[in-house]
Amino acid sequence: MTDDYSPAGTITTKLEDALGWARKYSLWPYPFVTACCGMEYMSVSASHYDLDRFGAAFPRFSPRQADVLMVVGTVSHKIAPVLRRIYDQMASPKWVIAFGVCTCTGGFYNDYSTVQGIDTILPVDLYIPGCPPRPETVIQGIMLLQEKIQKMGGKLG
Amino acid sequence: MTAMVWDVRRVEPGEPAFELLKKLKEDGYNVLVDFTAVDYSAWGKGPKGDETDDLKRAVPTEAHNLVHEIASARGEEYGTPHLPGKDTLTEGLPAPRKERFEVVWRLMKLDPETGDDRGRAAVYAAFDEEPPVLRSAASLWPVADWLEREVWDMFGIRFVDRPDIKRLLLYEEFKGHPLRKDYPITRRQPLIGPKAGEPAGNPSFNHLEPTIKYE
Repeated sequence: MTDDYSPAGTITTKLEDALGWARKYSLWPYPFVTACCGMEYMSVSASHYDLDRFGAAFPRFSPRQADVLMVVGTVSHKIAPVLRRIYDQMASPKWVIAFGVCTCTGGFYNDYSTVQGIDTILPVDLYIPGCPPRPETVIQGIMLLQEKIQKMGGKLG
Repeated sequence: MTAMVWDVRRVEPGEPAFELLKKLKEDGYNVLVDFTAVDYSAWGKGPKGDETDDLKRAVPTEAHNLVHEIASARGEEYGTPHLPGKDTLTEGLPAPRKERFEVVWRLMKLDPETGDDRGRAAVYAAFDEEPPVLRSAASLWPVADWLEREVWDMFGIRFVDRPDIKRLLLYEEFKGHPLRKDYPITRRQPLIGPKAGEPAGNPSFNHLEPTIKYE
């Protein structure tokens, strides 16, 4: 990034990289919390595990202000159109995290009421398995998503 | 603390059940704790034909065979693989019931001053689907409104004085009543996304149809 010819106190970079860097440290998640995974989400975003370290702990309760949709908990067929509508309302670039095994695959709810994985109704960027996932798993997931956002650079989601 | 004693009543559905509930309400049962139903249509009949085959196949598992191999290698006997027949799968089962459904109202005497539990009662009523016989208890305990809607939603049990009852938990587009024994266990009725029973490998599986209606 720096070289001997640049003036002191400056760095040079590509615009793509700068955009990716800026985006990955200003994630504004929209928590779509429907079930017990919500407890684990609260635990990971509270002070002990502190998602703020990753620039990713500022929950926005309006999809129009958010750029990460965190789907936390079992999604039933009844609420599936609502989830899809919230995803459609978010502005690009946007990313989706499937938090917990129910959102990834339906988990053990293979029954008349449960969506068998939210990737059947909207595109998912990151799957965090676990029932519920440990906070460490979530943090690793957030870091992987940041890596992905950095690689995307200036591209829209 | 003494063990809880339930006052269990069995009653004819319809008017006798309603009269009994009314009397219990007057006796001080001021809380309807729960109202729910059971579908007894598979009661006492044992596993279905294909399930019997599954059970037969499941018994000599790999682990079981492995134990046999080890035992014979050591020159020991380890019984014989047990293959249950139809009889062993149905013996010990209760007798089938005459009526298909049974509902239960669970009541409680709650002391409004102290919050103490002053007694419990359970009222059972068995009946067949046609014609609808049950009377709504919502005039006695308002909470019965939602509980009856749930019983309609899950079991399709109707109430004579609630002809236009609505589903409580499932969506209006849902066909059938999922907790009935004749609801196919694999039937799915998604509102958006892949249709029921479609293999995940199909190209259309992740195809998103614009089914959301925007005003």
